[in-house]
Amino acid sequence: MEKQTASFPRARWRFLRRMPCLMIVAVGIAAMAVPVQAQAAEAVAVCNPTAQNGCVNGILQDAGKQPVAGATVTLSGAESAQTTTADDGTWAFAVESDGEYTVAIDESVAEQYGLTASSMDVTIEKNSFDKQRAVVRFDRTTNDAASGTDMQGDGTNSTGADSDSKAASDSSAAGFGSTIGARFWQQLYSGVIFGLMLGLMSVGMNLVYGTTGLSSFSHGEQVTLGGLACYVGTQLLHWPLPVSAVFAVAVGAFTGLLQNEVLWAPLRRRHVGTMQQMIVTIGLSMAMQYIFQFLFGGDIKGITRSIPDTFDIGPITTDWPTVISALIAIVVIVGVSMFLYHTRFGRATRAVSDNAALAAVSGIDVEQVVRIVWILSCALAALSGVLLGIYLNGISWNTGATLLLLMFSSVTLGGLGTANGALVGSLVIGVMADMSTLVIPDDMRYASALAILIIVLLIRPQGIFGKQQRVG
Amino acid sequence: MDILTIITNTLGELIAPTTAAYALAAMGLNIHFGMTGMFNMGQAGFMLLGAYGFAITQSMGWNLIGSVLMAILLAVVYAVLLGIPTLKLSPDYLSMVTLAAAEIIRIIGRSTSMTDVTGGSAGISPQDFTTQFESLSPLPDKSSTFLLWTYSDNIADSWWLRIVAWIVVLIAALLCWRWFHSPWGRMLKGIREDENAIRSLGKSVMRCKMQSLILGGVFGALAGILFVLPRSVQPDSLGRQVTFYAWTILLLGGAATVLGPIVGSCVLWVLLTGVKETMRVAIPETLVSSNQIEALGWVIVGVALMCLVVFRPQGILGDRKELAFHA
Repeated sequence: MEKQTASFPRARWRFLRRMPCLMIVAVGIAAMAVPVQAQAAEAVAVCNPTAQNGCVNGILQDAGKQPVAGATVTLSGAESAQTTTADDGTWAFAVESDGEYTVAIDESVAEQYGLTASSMDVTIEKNSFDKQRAVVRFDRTTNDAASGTDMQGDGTNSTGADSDSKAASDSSAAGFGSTIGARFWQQLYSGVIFGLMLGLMSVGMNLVYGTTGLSSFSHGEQVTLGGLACYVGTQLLHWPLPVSAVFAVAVGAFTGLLQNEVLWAPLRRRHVGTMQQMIVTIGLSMAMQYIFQFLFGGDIKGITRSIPDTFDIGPITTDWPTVISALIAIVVIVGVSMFLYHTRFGRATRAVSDNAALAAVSGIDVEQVVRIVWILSCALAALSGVLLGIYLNGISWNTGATLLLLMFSSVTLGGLGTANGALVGSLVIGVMADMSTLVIPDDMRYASALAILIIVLLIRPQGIFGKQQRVG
Repeated sequence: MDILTIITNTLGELIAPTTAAYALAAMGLNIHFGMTGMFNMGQAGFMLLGAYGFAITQSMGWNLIGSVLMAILLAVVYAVLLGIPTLKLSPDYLSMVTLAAAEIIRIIGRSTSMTDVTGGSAGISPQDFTTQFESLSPLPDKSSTFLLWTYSDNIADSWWLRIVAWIVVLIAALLCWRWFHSPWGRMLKGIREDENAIRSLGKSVMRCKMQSLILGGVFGALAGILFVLPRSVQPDSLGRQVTFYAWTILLLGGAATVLGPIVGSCVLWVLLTGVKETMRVAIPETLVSSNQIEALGWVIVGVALMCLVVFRPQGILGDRKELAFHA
């Protein structure tokens, strides 16, 4: 819960910086939206940091993860206030001054619910991204108090494998005495998970490239669409998660069909060049991305509300949703490869990839193949959006857009248009991005993945599985 | 806000330094795409590099010309580095590499570990790099009103900056006009139409493409300087959206024309600002918030870009027979 809301300011902040001229207006609006302009700390239902106020908030749960309602939480320090926890255990203070704060609950309450601590100290700095919000969890005393907004890593890459690597760099580093070995395995693990999700996205993108020659810039938005559709299912329509996930995939598949029928098929019929179509996908990507922002706002939308229990496998800390997501990704990717290599339609798809004209002459309905490929590709993207949303504890309007370049890198690395190249490329890129944080600063992690792209082009432009072609 | 303010603000975009910066960036793209047929998807990278080169050297106390030369030098080096691996390959590769490289520059620039040099994600604030430029102004230190608009003479978003920016754009347009009609320009067009034909004539296609990439990139770097002068250097304000904007401008005005980028930039910004300002007045805040109107503005640009490519790929000024698109 706190992780979702915690990342809100970054998304908005980044948007503001894009449009400096509108910054003042937007900050004004943001300030208006939060009805906390009081002189001192104030108890609120939900707190979002702005230029004027920071946040101290949290969720009070007993040792068995059950929310504690109606308990009194006291804030003291630079400013003071008092509140009671809501039915779901949440509580929040909006504070005006920077400085040290102490959050306390009654000791008897702490004892009653088996909590290890009854008070905690936090620091608020409104202008620091890391410190404008402090999240206090009395049931987790180790490190949660300080690292409130960390989920988003460096803000640009609002997604990535940040949440897990945070766990790696913060908790396990502290817990294991910051041995590089422990971090190595953790980063390798989160890299593989991230690579699998990336693979799910890239396979679809690569299929589209293979059959139509189009590098789709709007594929990232298809990922976001999946995640947001799932959010609509679980949080707005209150469906169970599996139903919502199926709904999201269905929405994705439908948009794939729709796009092909309305946009790409007519363009192909008019023999519009692929480069021209690529620019259309850029326009589509911009339009979709900002429609998402228009509809869902700039904050992170959480698909699930519960915070999963973590457990250790050797040096790796993980939780069930992550493991299940990874398994689903593997099953689906294997399924897609089986489909491509062992069914009649899969052979037809590969035939179109190799040579569309020849395939058409041999009696393959190229348009039908391309239609199915679009549906499949967008459905896969939607599924990856759902899994990513669960894995990262939320999805925002630009999640897919920040991953687009990594998809491009994966596809290029594996070999443009090759069926299984995308998966291998994705795994390499995912692992590389996460492992590189062992040596370079955390917020440069994606740069390393993009650097691979450029190096690959220098050494082996056709990618790992691509066929050598004479170019130029 | 009354009608007059809307009109003033909207038409103000016609002469704004940002409009000039985008026009210049689009001219750079025009050299790449309109003249040579290369897909540079990372013009924002050139702009950011130019902005950093200028601002960092300025804050170190270099003189103005030195800083501008530094920005140009960085753009040249960057273009060469990007060009060597990709120009021999198919156009897909150049677009992806330029896109990725622009992101790399932005990610490195905004990284906290670079705070000492680039200021991290907060960037470089204007007082660190604009003073020399502003003190060069011959205008008196006050604010002046010309026709509808009142701006300060020298500070930040000023008349002085407007004058300089549009003079630079004008010179760039003249240069483009000369280049496009020179034998060299004809050769570039030849490469655009059929690389192998030019190669068979014994010309070095690679070298010409490289020259074109460098020139367009230098335009981008200068545009970056103009872009940051009225505000501050912030890596995230020069993300890939800026590249997409520049593309929209180029296609709107008409690729492979000299005046296309200027017309495209003016039309796009005036229309966009007009629509947004009108929406702000016409739609109550309770229904659609200011942030949402901003988002709608982007949606409009996105849809406009799609429609342009589909329905009028030659743009406003372009010649349908001389389309710059080739499959």
